[in-house]
Amino acid sequence: MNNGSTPLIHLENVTKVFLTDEVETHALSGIHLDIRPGEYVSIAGPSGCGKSTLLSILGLLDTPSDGSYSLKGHEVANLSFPDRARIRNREIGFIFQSFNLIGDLTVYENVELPLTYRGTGAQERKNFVTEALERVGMGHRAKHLPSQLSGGQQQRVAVARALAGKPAILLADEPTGNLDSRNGEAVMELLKELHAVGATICMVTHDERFAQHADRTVHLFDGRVVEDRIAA
Amino acid sequence: MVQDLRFAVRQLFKAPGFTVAAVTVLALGLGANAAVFSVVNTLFFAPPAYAKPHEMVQLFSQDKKNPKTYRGFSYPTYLDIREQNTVFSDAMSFNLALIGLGQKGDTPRAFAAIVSSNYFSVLGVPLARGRAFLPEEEMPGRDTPVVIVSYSYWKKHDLDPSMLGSQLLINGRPFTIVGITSKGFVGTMQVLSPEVWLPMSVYDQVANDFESVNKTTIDDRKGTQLHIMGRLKPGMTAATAKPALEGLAANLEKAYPVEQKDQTFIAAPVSRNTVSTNPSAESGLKSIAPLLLGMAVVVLLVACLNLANMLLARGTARRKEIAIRLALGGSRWRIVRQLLTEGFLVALLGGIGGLILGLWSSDLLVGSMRKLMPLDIVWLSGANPAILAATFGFCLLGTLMFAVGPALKISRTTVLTDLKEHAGEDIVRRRWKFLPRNPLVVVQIAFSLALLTAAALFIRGANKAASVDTGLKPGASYVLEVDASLAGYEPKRAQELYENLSARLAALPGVEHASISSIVPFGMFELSRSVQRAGLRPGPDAKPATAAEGLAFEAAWNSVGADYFSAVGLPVVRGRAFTEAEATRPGPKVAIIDEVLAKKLWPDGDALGQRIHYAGENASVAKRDGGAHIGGSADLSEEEKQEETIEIVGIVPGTRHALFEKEPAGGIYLPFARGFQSDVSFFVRFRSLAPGNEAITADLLRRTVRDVDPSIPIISLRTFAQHLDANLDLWLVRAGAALFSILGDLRLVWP
Repeated sequence: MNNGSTPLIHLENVTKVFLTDEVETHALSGIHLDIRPGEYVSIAGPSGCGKSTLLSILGLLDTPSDGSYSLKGHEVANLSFPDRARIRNREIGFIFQSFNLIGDLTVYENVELPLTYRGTGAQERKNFVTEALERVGMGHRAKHLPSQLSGGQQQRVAVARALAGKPAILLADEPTGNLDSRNGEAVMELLKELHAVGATICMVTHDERFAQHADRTVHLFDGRVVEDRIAA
Repeated sequence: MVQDLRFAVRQLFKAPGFTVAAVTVLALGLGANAAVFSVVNTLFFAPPAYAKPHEMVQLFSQDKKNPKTYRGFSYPTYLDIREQNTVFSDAMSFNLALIGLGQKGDTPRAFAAIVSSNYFSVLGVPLARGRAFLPEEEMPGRDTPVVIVSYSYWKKHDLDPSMLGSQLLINGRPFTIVGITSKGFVGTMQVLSPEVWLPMSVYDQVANDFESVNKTTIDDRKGTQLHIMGRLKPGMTAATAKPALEGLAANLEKAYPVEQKDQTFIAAPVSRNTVSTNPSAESGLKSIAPLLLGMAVVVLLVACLNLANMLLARGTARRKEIAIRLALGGSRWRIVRQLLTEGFLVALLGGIGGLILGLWSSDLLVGSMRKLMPLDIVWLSGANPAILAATFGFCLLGTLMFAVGPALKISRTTVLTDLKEHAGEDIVRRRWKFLPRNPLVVVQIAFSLALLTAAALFIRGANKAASVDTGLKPGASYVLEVDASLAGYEPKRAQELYENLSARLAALPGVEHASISSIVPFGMFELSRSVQRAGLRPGPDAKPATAAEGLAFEAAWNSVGADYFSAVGLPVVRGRAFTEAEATRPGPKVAIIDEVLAKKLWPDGDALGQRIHYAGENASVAKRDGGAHIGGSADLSEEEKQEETIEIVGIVPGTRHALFEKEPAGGIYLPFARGFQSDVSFFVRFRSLAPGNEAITADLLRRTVRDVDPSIPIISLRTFAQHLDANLDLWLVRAGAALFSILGDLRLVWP
């Protein structure tokens, strides 16, 4: 699905160094990465290779120590916390390994939450939430609390929440990590369907089987891109 | 915002334990503030119970040569002022008197306002029922027995519809009820209300010991019984009225050079909480307001610090939720708003609880005080708009105090760390390691300790007061207070009655001693008098430093029966006690003083057999201290002229006269016949009192009084221990101890 247009995401020489009292850890070193609209990219690699750090920087949850990051052509590497929150809310949809639904909110309210923060009107919010829940097949569970759902269902709700605001990119951090294989496969199928209708997805996984669902796989090792392979 | 509220409600239900604890802590803190505000608001800010208070002023009569000296007005002077002034649209006069109210027997004592007929019209206050006094009911000599009762009195009688026109016994004499004041009307003071209003024409029949500083009849121009209040003409102020009032005073001085000598008039705002001839009488009371409010704010602060800690602890458990919200694009302000909404909801619930608690506790406090005070305390219980608004304000303030800090801290969460599945301890590196981990806890403990220290001091004070060596050893004694004037007795008849009663009490089985006394130590009232060595009257400019140079000493004054010292267990250490003849018939001018006063007056010599006299108004008097009581200078009978000297015939040990007196101030005792008071107490000392027989003994004493005259009102009857227990000073420290203990324990109960 690489349409050859301007990159949605452009990373140039991005590094991330964590400083602790005694140790300086280089989590990412000189990362160059472009993700174009409509691409389905998986970031793979062994534990501790910097996958999640890279995803956090892509999701504006963290800032690079050095280098440049542009999203839809705008430099976002050094934005303030509120600006990053605003862009995160509008342009990025998150799918977490542990679902990260808020237990005291219903399925509907969980999906609605990012739209509320965006200031979307009530009617529009309702339309978006209903559409997103229907899309992941969870419309009938709108009034349930997360605790009343299975793990697979919770992840579907998390996907709906990520989709509802029609973000520029979906970032998935080990989305199958807390699921059994059947539910894991189901979630992967769901992402595939979303990609099929035009969603840009960037997924972190350490599982080669799931990485193969993507069009393109970027392999990290010791904080560096060691392979950037497009699926045949 | 609706979503925030919905979520906040859910949060409260989700953690009922936290909710109950938080609401309770806040209810205590906000309740203290609501209670204090209701008191402070009523005393200092709420509009008075009369119309257009800004137009009302009180008139004061000031001594031009001694500007710190003020006095009241006579009725003829009031009439002159009312007719000749150019500054008031109208002026009224009144005074307060203690009366016996109601049925014969156990007659409660109450305050009455004796007023001019235009009292209610000048105040602009309509009556709830009936009519105001008529001009002819004001005229001295008419003695018209009509009365207007307070709404509070009417309420005590279940708003009896037939009360108007019915008879009410005042000092044993029937008065016709012609009016009932409107609800909430408390006279010119904010809280302390007369129970009845009487016309000026009955002044001489009703006024008694309480206002007998100048025993003149109401129509005597030398009198100083009355207070005058006036409604200023439109555009007039107290300041602009000054020249006209000074001119009026000068005219009256010219017309009545003896009675009005050196007197000028000044107008000042009506005092909210006292009735005094001195315009600065309220200044001391005003300082209580910031003290009370400050204490309440500290209490709220402790409660808020407590809650802030609870919220911080809870915030740790909610870090993941906050991180999710931030990850989804919630701004920090949005998160803070959510947390503040939750906090405000808790504060509102605490406020409702606090309001109920505050109003209940202030009612309790007032009810407890009512039992000690001889006045009707009119306290309009229930929430009014001012208290509701203030409590809402306290809720907002409380929210800011307890929720903002935790909200800011919690919203500063580290998203990446907290998004992990098992987010736990705060791993943020502490930059200032030498500072306490949680400064809020330190501040909270500091405030709590301050409150507990205050509580400890109060408790110590209460214990000290309760166990203080009064110097008296009354044994198994009862104190029986009666006032024959409340049954219409003239002083001469009353004296005979008291003599008879004293003899009967002494003859009761088991009674060891019985004696009359005009003052009961540690009671509500105290009288004092300045005395100096006989023959020494330094000039007005003299500054005597010693008794030998003419320095006067203020001493507690009492007039007692012959058996008083035996009854209260006070041995006469030198000289003798009063004889029965001295105590019951005016005879030689003799006194017994205590060792303290003796030492002050004759530090190096023997006071026994010496002579003393009362000091003049301008004499230099050594200072003394005392406790809370209604006091005054003893007004003695006409025979006790300042020029006359009194022989000291006995010396007794020094005793305390107030529980919190640092050291005995000195006391002087006169034979009762030379210091007649109508309100008296009898000390009845039994050889022993079998436990459980108190009620039977009290009934015996009550029957003895009724046998002498059933119309004599018994004002109080209790053992001496019970009398001490009801001491106002002791009540104050006990109330303070209870209050501070509860408030200080907030931190300990909800750590």
